[in-house]
Amino acid sequence: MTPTAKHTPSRYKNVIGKYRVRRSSACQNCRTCITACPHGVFTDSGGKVLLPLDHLCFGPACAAGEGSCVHRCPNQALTVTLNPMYEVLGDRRWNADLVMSTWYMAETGRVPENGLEYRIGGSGGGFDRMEIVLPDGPVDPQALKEVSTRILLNRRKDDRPKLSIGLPVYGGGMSFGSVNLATMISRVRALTAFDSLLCTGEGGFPDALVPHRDHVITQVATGLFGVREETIQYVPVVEFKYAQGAKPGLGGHLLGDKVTPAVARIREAVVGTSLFSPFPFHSVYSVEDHLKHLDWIKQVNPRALLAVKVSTPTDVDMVAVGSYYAGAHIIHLDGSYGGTGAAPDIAKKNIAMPIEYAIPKVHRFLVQEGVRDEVTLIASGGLRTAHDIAKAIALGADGVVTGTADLVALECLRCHNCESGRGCPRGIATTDPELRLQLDEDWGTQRLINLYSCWRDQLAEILVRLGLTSISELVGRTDCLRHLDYEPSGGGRQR
Amino acid sequence: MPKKYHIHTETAPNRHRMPGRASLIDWEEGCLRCAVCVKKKCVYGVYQNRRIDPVSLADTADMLCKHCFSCVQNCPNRLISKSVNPEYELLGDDYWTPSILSTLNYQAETGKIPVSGAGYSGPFSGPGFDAIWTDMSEIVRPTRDGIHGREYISTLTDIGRKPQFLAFDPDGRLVGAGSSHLDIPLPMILSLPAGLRLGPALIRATAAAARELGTFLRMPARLAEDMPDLDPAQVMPCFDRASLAQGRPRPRDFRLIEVEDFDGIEDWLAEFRRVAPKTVATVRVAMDSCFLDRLAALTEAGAPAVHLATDSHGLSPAEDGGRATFIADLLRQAHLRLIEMGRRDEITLLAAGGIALAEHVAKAIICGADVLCVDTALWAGLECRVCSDCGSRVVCPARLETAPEAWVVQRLLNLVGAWHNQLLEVMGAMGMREIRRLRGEVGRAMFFEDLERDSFGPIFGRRKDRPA
Repeated sequence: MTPTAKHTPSRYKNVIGKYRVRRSSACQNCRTCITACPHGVFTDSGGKVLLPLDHLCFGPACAAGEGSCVHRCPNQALTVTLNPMYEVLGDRRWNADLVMSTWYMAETGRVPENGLEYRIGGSGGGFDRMEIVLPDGPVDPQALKEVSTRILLNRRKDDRPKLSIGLPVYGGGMSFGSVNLATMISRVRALTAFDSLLCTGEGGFPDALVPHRDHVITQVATGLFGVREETIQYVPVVEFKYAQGAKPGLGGHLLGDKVTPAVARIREAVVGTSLFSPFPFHSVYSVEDHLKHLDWIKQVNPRALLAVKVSTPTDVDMVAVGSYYAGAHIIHLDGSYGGTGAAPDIAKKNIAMPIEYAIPKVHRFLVQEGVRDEVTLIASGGLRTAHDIAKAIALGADGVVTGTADLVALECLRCHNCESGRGCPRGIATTDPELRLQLDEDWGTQRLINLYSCWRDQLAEILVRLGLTSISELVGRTDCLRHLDYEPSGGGRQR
Repeated sequence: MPKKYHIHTETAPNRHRMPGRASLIDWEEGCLRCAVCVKKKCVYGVYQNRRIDPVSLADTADMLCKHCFSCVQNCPNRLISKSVNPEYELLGDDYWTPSILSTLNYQAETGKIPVSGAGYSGPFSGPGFDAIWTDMSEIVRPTRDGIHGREYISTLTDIGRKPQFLAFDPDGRLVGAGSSHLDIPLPMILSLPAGLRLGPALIRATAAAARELGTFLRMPARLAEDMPDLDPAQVMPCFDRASLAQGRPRPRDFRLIEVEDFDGIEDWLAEFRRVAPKTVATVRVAMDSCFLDRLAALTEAGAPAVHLATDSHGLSPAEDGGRATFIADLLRQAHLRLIEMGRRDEITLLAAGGIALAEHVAKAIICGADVLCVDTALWAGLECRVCSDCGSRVVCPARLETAPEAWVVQRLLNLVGAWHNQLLEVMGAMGMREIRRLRGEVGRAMFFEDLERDSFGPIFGRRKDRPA
C-alpha cells in the first residue's frame, strides 16, 4: 500500500516564502482576504486574521489580478513583494527555490505551483544543466498508478534473498551522534513506509532502531564504531564504507562536544573525546583484502546483501568492477558534492569527481565487462530532487541514496554549522539535550513521507510520459536526456 | 626521517569587524515583549554578544550571525528579517571574492582548516582552478591518517640546479660544481603584493614570518637595500637591470635572488655562478607569447630557476587582442615543454599570481609548478580587503600601517599553517607522501574538459563552447 501524504506544516511560526505579504495597520479584520485568496495564505483564529502564510503566496503577478487579496481589500492594507530573504537563503547547489520547494513538498506532498523551481538547483553544471526530454500531452491516471518504482538490490546469481525496495531511493548513512535519534527514527519510519532502507552510518546501531531492523543497513566503516556481531546479523544489507563523497580520502571526525554519554556508550568511547574514523581501512591494502572483508560479513550473516560504498576517483570504474568480483551486490558511488556532516571545505569542493561524471563512466565499464546485469549500481552525492534521481538513473544508476534532501524536509536550511558549538540550531544534526527537543519524530516521519510521496509521483509521471512501466526500464536511457551546454544534435544512444 | 615540519598556530583575533554574508534586520517596532524573546534563545548568543564596533561604529550582529534563521522564523510578530549585505558584496573583486576573503581571514585568525557541514555549496565548476578536481585513492598505503596521523608527508621542495648525475675523476674525487640547490620546507615563498600597502613594519613582520616558516620573503631589491637588518638568508631580492648595475645590494650576499630577464642574461648567469656558486638565481621571464621559447632557451643556458609571474588574477597579459591565459594553463604548457626537452628536472619553476586558496597551491603544483609565490592572499589574511584603489585611498580599511608586528607574524603563520595542513589533506587523499612527486602529476587531477569529453561526450556529443 502506498503511504499517503498528509498536510504537515512547518515547526516554525514563520515560514520563509519567495514572496512577502505585508499587512498594514489599516487592516480592519474584515476577513475579505481569506475568501479572496484561493491558496490559503490567509487564515483566522478567534475572528482575528493571522499573519499571512507567505510561503503559499503566488506573488505579485497573482496580486495584480482582479479579485486578488490586494485588490479586494477594502482598506488597501495588503502589499505583495519579492521577499528580500529569498536572495540570502540557500546557496548555489541548493538555491532558495530548491530549499523552499523541498519544504513545500514536505509540508503538502505536492510540487509547488507558485513558480518555485523544484527540479534543478543553481550550480550551473551537471544535473542543473540537464533536462529530461518529456513528451507533452495528457497522462493516463491509471498508468500512473500501475507504474513501478521498485528496484531489485540483489541481481547476483547467488542464494541470497532477492531483496527489493519500493522506491529507487534508500537513506544514506548519517551516524547517531552526527544526527539525533529523532532524525534517524523519522527517516527509518518514512523509508519503511515505502519498503525501503536506512543506513546507520558509522555510529553504531541505536537500540531504538532494533524494531526497524528489517529496514536498516548496518554500516561497517574504518573506525568500526558500534559494529558488533549482532548488529551485522540484524539486517538485510551490510554496507562497507571505504570513503565518502564529502571528504574522499579523509577520515571521519566527530568533535568531542558531540560525544555525549549516549553517543559514547553506543560507540564504546569516552565522553567528550573527539572520535576519528581513519582512512583507509587499515586491514585492506588490496582487492584481495577487500574480498576477505566481504567474506567475513557473509559468514557472520548468511542472508545479508553486501553494499560497498566508495567515492569517485579517476579510476572509479576499476574500483567498481573490483568490488563486483569481490562479491558485492550493491556498488554505491558517493560523488564529491554531497555529504551532510562536517568536512574540510577543501575536500568538499576539490577532491574526487562529481557524481554526474562517475555514473556513466562506471555504467559503461560494467556493461563492457559484461557484469552490469549482476550488480546494483547506486549513486549519491548531491542528489536533491526527483529529477536528479531520474537523471542519475537515465545516466546508468539503478537507484540513489539521499541524505541532505531528507534533512531539508526536516527544515534544515543548509547554514553549514552542523558541527559548531552545540550543533544544529534547528535540532536535526545535534544530540544536544535541549536543541534536539525541537524535532518530533512523528512530525519528521510525515514530512519525509510527504517528500518521498511527491518524489514517487514525479517519477511515476516521468516514466509514464516516457512510455515506460518501470523505473528499471529507465536505467542507462541517456537518449531521454538533453544537456543544455551541448549541441542539440547530440542526443545519446548509449544503452 | 627528519623531524616533522610543524607550524605553530594560535588564535590571533581580527582587529576589525568582518562583514557577514547576510544582514540581520531587526524591526523593533511592534515588539510584543514576549516573556522569552527569540533573541535570548539564539544558539550562538548573537544578540547577547553584539556591540558597536569602535572602529567602524557599526553593529557586530551581522558578523556574529551564522544564518540559521531561527530568530527570523520564531519571532511571533515577524519582526526579524535577513537581507543581502552590500558591505559584504563589495569586498574584493571578481577573483578575490568575498567568500575567498572571508575564508582567508578565518584561517589567519584561527590557523584552522575551514570545516563546515551539509556538503558543498558552490558552483559545479568554474574558470581557472575551479575547473580542476584533485584525485583520491580508495585503497592507499597503510597508516595514513592525514594531518592527524602518524605518517610523515613531506612538503619539502628544492630550488635550484641539481646535477643529474655525479661525476668523479680517476682518484674518486667529485668533479664539477656539485649541487647548489637549496630547499624550503613547504612549496611556498612569501611575496610582497604589488599595488597593496607596504610599510617597513609590515615588511619586517612578513620577513619574520618567512624566517619562522623556513622560507623566503620575496621583495624588490631596492627595498631590501633600505632594510639592511633583514636576514639575507631569508630574503629573496628581485633585481632589474638597473638595480643590478647599481651593485647594491649585492646579489651574491643572498641565498636566493630573482633577476628580471634581459638580453644577454645567459652570460650574466654564467659569470654569477662563478662568483656566487651558492646563490640560486631565478630568472623572471616576460609572460608574452614567446615565454615558452624563452624558458627553453634559459633551460639550455643552465638557468637554475625560472619565475612565471602572472597578475593577481593569475592571468598573463593578453596580447594582440588575444585572450589572457590562466596560470594553470601556462604552467601545463611550460611543464610539458620542459618534459619534451627531457630537461624538466634541471630547472625549478616558480609561479605567481592568483594563488588565493590552499587548493590553488596543490593544483598549480599538479600543473607543473615547483614553488608558488604567495602575495595577495597574505595581505587578505591581515584583513586587507583588496580594494582596487589601494594606492589612492587615504585610509586603509584594515589599518595595515598600525598592525602590531607580533600580530602580523602570527596571522601569517596561521594562514600558511592552515594551508599546509590542507595540502597534507589533499596529498593524503591521493596517497602521496612527497610534494615533489606531485609536481606535474596531472594523472592525480581531473580536468573539467576531460571529464566532460570522456563522461558526457559519448552521450551528449559536442559542447557548445568547444570548437568543431
